[in-house]
Amino acid sequence: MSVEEPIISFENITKTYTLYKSDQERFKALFLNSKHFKKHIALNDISFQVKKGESVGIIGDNGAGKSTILKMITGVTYPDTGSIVVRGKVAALLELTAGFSLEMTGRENIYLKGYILGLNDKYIATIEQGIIDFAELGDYIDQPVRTYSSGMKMRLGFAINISIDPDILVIDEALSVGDGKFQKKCKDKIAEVIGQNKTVLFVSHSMSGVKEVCQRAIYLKQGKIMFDGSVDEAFEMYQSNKAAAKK
Amino acid sequence: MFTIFKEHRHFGKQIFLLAKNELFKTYKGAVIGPFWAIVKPIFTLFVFWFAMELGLRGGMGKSPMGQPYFIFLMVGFVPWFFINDTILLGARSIRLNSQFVTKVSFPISTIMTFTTLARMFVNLFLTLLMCIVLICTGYHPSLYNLQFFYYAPLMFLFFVALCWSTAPMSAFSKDFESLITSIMAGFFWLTGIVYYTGDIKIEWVKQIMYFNPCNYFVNGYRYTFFGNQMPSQGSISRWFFGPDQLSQTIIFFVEFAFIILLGIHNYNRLRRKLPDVL
Repeated sequence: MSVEEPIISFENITKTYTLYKSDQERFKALFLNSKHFKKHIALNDISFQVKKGESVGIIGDNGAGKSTILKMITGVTYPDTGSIVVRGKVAALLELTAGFSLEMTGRENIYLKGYILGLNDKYIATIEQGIIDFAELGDYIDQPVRTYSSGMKMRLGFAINISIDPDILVIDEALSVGDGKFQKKCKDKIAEVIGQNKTVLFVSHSMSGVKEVCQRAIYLKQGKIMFDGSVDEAFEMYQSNKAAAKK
Repeated sequence: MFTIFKEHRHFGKQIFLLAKNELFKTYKGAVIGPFWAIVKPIFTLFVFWFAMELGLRGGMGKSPMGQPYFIFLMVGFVPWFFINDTILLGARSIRLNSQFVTKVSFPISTIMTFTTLARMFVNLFLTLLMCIVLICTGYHPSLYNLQFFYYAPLMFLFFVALCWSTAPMSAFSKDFESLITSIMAGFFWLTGIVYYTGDIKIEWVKQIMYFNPCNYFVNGYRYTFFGNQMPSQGSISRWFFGPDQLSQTIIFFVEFAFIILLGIHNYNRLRRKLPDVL
């Protein structure tokens, strides 16, 4: 029997943020072992696996550790202990306008993003035109990105991320991509990608959004996984927890 | 070392693009734009020449190495402009490019490389202008000029390696950045730019000066660009591998190795913390 390897695997991940009492302590910590700091635990010994083709919703209050998980999957931040395995290209539809170099043209930024994601010239050249068409930038593509409107930047950011043929798609529901028409186009495109048996991680507060996309949900509270299973049950627990906290 | 090396693989072209971009960023918005890259050094050079030569020395004429003082000063200042800019901007480079650290998974060590490379472009242009001035004033090319292809790349590599320590540390603590700025303000006078370190009469002070790597480049540039016209230096070897300079070259490389090891240590130690502190 062959067991398929999970595409994302978190094993006993703990992440703490170090908070120094003052800037002096931070400076001292460069040279000495300072003891004057507090630890804020963002993720507390969490483990989960995601199989290829699965769509998983991540729910929880602000500060529960959702974005820390996403940042680890995209390779921006690192855990203190535990091991993470992510197999394949990750497209992050989180902060679409991030990571652009403003003085470079849109076209140069396509290449920059591509290189960061580990693609080569040849491959980027094949997807270049598709990105430009999807983002509807026209002649602006050869202008510096600093001259773009915020909507144009988002469109370009979305187009690049969705066009790199990702294996894993990371989506924040609070994602906004400009006017209604383009929003619809993006939603259709996301649906299309999800339909291609891609792995999706979806961060959200709304039950309907998660239900639409995911079969499974992980409920996080204060850095711990409270529940990992069906979407209905996860939200049930989330809501009863919230209600209990209010009392 | 391996992390840094790995981060640079397949990123060469991008480093050039980002360096070019860095220059645009520095000089855009100004009316004469890129000319600032030249105007500032020329003005600095003139002010120092005026204060030192006309003010302090009363227009005595010959420099410590036997050239007009202006020539002596110019050839010393050209590498210093690079050193100064690279240390200051290099230390701030990660903070200035924080969007690459906190938003995307980026090979962070290349930030220091493209920042330094951008300064190198400016410096190559200044060097070209310097060569024109030298030729016009009768300092003709000589074989010693070939040493430029030794000193310039070495200077680039040395200061990139230095940034492996200073940039992550400055990003981690703003106080460290201030510390570097303060040190650099005084460090100019501890480096033999307006004077020649070989002229120092107290032997042990003179020996200590050899341990300042900036002196290695500043004096190296002088041997490179007017090594054929140094009447007061007698038969001292002008080559970096010559008998008179071999000990300085060895000292430099020992320091270089130390800076590399320190840089790797500091980079690896702080790399993973950077996304959380910026």
